[in-house]
Amino acid sequence: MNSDVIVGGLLQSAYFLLMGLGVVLIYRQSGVLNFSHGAVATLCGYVAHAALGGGFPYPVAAIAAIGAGVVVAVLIERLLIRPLAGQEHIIVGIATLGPALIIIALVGSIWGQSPYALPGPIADTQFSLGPITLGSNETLSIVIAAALLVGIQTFLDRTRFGLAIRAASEGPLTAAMLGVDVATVRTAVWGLSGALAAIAALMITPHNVLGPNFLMDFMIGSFAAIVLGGMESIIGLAVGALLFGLLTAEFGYYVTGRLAATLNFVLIAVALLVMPLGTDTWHRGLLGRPLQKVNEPRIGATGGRRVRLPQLTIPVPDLPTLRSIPVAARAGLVILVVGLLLFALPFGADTLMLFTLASLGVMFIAAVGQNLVSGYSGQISVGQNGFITIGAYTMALFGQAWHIPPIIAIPAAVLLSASVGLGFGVLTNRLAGAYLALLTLAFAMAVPELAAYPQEITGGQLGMVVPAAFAPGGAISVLQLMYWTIMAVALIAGVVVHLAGRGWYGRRLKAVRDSEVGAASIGVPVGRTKLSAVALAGAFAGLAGALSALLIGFIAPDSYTVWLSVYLLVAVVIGGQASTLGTLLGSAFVVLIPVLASEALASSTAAIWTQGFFGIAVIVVLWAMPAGLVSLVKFGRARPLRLALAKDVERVTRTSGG
Amino acid sequence: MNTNTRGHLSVALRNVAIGLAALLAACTATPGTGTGGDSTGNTTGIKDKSIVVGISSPESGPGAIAAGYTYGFKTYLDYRSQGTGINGYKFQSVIVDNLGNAAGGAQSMQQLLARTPFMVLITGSSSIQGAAPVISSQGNGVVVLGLGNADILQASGLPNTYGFFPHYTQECYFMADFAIKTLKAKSLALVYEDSATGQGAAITCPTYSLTHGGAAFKNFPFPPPAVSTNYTSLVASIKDTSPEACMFMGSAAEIASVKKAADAVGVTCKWIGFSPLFDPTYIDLAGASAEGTYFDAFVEPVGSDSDATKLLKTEMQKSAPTHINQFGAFGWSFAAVIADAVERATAGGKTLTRESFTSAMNSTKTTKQLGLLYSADYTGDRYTLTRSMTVYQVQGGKFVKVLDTTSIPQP
Repeated sequence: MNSDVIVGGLLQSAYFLLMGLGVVLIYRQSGVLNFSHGAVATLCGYVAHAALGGGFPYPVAAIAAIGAGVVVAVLIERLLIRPLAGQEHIIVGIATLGPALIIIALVGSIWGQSPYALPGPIADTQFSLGPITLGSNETLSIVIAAALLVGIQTFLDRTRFGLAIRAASEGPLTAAMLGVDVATVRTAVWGLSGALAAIAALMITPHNVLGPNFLMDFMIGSFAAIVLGGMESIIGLAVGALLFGLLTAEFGYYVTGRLAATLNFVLIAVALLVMPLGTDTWHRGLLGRPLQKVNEPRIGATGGRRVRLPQLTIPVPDLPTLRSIPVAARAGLVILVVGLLLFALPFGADTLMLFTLASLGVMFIAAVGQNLVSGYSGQISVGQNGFITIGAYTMALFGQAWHIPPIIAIPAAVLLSASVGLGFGVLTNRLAGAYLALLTLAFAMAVPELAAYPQEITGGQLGMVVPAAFAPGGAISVLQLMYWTIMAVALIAGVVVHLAGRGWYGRRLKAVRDSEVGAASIGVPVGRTKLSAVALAGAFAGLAGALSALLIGFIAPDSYTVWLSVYLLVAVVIGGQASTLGTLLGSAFVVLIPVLASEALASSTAAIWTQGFFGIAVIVVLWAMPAGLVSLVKFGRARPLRLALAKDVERVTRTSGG
Repeated sequence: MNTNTRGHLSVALRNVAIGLAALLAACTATPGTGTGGDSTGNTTGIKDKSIVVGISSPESGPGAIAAGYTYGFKTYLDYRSQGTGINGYKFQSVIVDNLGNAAGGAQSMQQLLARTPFMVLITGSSSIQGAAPVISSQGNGVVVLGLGNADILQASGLPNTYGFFPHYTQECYFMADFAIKTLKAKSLALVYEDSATGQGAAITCPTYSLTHGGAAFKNFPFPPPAVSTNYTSLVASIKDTSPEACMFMGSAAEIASVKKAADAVGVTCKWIGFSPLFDPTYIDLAGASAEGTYFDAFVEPVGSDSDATKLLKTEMQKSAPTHINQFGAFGWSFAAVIADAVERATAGGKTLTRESFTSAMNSTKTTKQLGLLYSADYTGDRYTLTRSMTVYQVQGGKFVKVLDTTSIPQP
């Protein structure tokens, strides 16, 4: 064994642990996967950098950074998370993407995109322990990570406030009834998480660099360690970080460093297959203990003692004009109108509009699949970019290497993606919640890396040119033909999923989503239903990948990163889950907002704010319409009283541990 | 169906029909030519002597560090547009985020072409690849400027295209020659980001080196920064092969981290970074580890005290102070070449057209200082304006020239 590699692995483990602590703490407290943690850490790093640049000594800079972390995290909790209390965890998790994008844009606009060096807390020296050479700041990082691990675990286990945190995590209503000030506890945990983000930034960046995106990317990478160890256990996180840090270092040394994400995915998959882990056991992590996460009820500002009771909603009758038309006729009419509009558009629209709408069509097709798996069946997947990659590369390879026409290549891409989805579904069937999300995340990171690995075949990171589906020339352009093709496919996909969602299949998916036990008790094959959703979602994603490859004419792995999946999830959540119209609106949001923002900013020097504005838009929509944009359309149609009451009764029952 | 229902249906259908007609009318009324102004003949993209320059820039994502090119470029054009401009011509820049990837390159190019620009600048090799098919089908002869690997630009096959950086494959030959001939190294290593940056060089450089005096050559790829930040395994592998010279192709942040990790485990090779790394940022990031590192270069270091760098710093301080670095200097210098071509094309009151501009660009061959460039040459190869390079070394925290200008080996 190479001692340098072991030391490097240990150090990386410490960094994963430092970054993961805050993520796990928030998840453990509220069940929310906090995407903004890495961005808060970034801001803290820049605050320390600014303080040092201003001539302040390191301890002052460190305190300023930690203070900034606490303040920003508390602000996120008070201004964003608390108003969303009672919403599903996936909605709150997606909402945290908003502040993340805003912070990154803010940091970039103030300090620029060039990286900075942040010094470590102590002078950089090296010392030897036998054959091992250690750096002073690196050693300090390991010591601080270990100290934080022990300290936080002791704090949670042995202190009264730790008990309050655990109580508020496991049953907020019960905790509130027992006198725990749940709101204050939550704020305190977010503040602590902010402080941990700052410490992570102070320890990780000296060994690396301080840049607007670095810690955000590092956080995504550290999710691998988190999922291996377990989201709900601090000790489990430590074990996961240690395993992942050491194994990737050894794998990188003895095999290759180009398949780190793939190794992570394989590790988790193997762990699932060989370890006798049921879903509950996996939820505990390797050494943790089980916690039951519940959707947070709305807790008032008075220490959590005031609970807003479910409001009775009064159905508002629909407009008589539309109600009087049979449903099938209305649907047919809508499809006809939309179809005619989409067909006619290329005769008047410019190429930008056509390309943007075609991109929207591709996004919609992928989001329809995402909605099946996440919206209808309740499986939080961020792995759709993996299937999109498979579809795109199948298309490109068939077209470029084997000269097979798209009419054959596209079905092949769909079939392959669905098959991989089926296999993947066997693994994911054992998981739920954030663990499912994190396994799919590992998949999402592995597939583009795998696509790039055989560079003689796929062009590696250089990518591949995708032959056009249509021959150029003539009165009708290739883009117009692609537009019609994509829109026709999108329309069919939308109609099929809409009808399936309203029929027996949709009812099965929703039954599984709402209660697997309940669904099984009425004869729904839970496993097969979930598996079918993952496979179908894979098929739609593969279809979207193939079409996007044809639309752009070029593919490279960097177009299919995990962020694509995150944005698909944003489309589903922003639009409205389990709704085809919502998926359409959400897809439009994800495609059009950045385009509109960049158009608005194009003549200025503020293009860096394009993604920042997207983040603002995410927050605004989720603030105003937590149920998604589709609630705009459904305005006035209250949910049935019986269902509303049933859901609220179920929530109260689950909250009280019943 | 009763009478009342039929009535409602007819009302609904009528409303839908009216809406459809209105939407179709709106669609057909949408102009298809963008907002670029005069779109007749070869003066497309110029209106009232205002030259529209579309810039596809990585404003977000891991590649956003390259946005410095954009703001250096824009700042120089704005500087030259002051007063009466260049023979009456001024520049109007439009910037769209390309996310630093191929899909973003395609989308941003669609947006830029809708504004009917005279020329477009694309920053980043992946974005160039993504934008190329769009330009091929819809560019209508737009002039293309690329800030990325000249190999990628050449492979795009686009007409009217001009690059800035060298062909990275050839630059690797230059580094290998320097290592073999000047540093007397026989065993070489290419440490590269496994992306469009280093992949091409990793294929061709070993053969070149081994046929030009090298005795051993080994490639050491590492994943892009969004995937991994742990370089211990990489440097441990390098240490095992004990190369005498380590050529590096990646970002400033990556080489800083790799160099620090290499020093920690005792790698003793002489490090040579390629031209985009020639940036004081590296010295800041690597600290003491930077000492002794070599960089090939074709521009003056931004940290020097010449009139050219003073002008750059003064102008960039006004509009893009966070980009006063070598990235900004590259963009600034590229813009100086563009402005010089516009000046020559419009000398004597001539009208600027795409033909006159490309003709001026094609004839660019000068040793006069343009921006921070030592020379510029588009004759023979328009994908790079660099035919020769020099080498600097970090000594006492500063870049010190250690090799006179030397031609870049051609394949």
